[in-house]
Amino acid sequence: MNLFRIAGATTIGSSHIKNGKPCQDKIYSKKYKHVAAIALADGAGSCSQSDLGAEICTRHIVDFLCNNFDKTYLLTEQEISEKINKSIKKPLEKMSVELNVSSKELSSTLLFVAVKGNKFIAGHIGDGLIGKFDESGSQILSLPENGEYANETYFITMPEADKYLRIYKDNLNSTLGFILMSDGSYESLFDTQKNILASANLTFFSWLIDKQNTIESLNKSIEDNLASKFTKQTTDDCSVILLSTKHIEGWLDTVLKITHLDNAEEWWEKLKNYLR
Amino acid sequence: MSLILEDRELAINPNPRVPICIALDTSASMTGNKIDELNKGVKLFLDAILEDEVTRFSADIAIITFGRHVEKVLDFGDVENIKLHQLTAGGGTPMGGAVLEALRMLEDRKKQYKKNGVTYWQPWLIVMTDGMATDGSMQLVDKVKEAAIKTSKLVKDKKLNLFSIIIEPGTSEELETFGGKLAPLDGVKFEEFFQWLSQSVSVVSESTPGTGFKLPDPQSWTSIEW
Repeated sequence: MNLFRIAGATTIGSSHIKNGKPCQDKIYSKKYKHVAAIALADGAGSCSQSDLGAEICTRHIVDFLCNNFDKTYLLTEQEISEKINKSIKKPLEKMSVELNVSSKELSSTLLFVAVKGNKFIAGHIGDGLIGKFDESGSQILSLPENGEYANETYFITMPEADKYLRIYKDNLNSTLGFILMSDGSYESLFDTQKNILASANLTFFSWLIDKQNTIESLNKSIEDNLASKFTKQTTDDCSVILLSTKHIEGWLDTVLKITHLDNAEEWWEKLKNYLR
Repeated sequence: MSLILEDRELAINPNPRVPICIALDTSASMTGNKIDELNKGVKLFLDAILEDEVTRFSADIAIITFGRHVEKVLDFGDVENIKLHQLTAGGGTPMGGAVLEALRMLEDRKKQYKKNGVTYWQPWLIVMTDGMATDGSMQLVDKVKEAAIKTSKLVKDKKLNLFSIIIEPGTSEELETFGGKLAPLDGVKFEEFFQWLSQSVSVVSESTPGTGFKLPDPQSWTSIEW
């Protein structure tokens, strides 16, 4: 039995406020027919409609994967990348015609994860990071891909986006959940000098799996933390979205293996609560 | 109940840096009012960088002079501890050698950033001169040509932002070969130029992926429109 929980938030960056730009980070999620999917997109700073582009990308990919998970999982990673690239370009091009702008004005990065049963499909183009949680804590699933310089990255609107859209698919095995973060949040959630995820990732996840926290309160707490703490590290927009997966079988053994954490007992109590 | 992360749970990463190398003509022809105004302009620039809460942590500045010889008067490093002596004028104009040294310093700085996990924007090189180089085409080894080949390729590949500033009575002939943006300085408006430069650095420091930054209007110090 799967009992997915999803929570996330976005917050506008100070440079966007200063320049009169909207928040260009968007998140979206859906649970549909035994599939849970989350997505995050970061609109390109100088592109006039990139907030709209990000919105289109997150909604499209989540709907696509909810409706086509099984068929998609059977394809190779390259085939999945080409299929998604082709599919996502359609609503973007349609919107560019409606707005009478080049589709480049809708540029954004894109990160996503979809889970069904014991399987997952994830994808990533551009900066930001995808993390996953398992018995040893938090792990990196997908690192940012930037050009040489701080203001260079890859966008889903690029003609050869399928070459830069990285796809991951596998069994969940001991994976307990995922986190997607934009590059703004990355500054607070990833230590670039030690190349490790900050412990805040696991803290966010422990809040998610604690059933005493309603999803509404979680979304608010995440937003408050992004606005009060993450924005101290960057002038960019910040966003995160998390998904916890559940398989009743194997959870208890998994939890008992989490022994290295300082707050392992606390973890265990929260998980027991979650399982009830 | 609101859930709050503790500060110790968050990563603290170095700010992305914008490395800026300024190559300044301090040849004999800069004597008098020009070198005085140049000194004032440089001081204004460094003060402005420190006062801006964004550039204070992002700008990484080095200064080279070319006069009697090519001299590194300020190396990249902690901008808060900058100590710069008054620049004095004298000697020839080894501009080619200065630009080559600037490129080497910028390249070394990028290597350090990569080694230490620091992200960075495209480097900036500013060259200011009031005359023809004395290590150029009249010499056995034409360092201006050697520098121009390197800078024009970097500019073309979008790996360098280059600004060449002509101080009166200089001409644009050699500076044009470097590529990048070229502009004559109105009179001795060094302070206005360096104020514009600090504002430009601030714009870059706040740019995010996909943002092609728009430089402030340079009309305060030049007649050229970019």
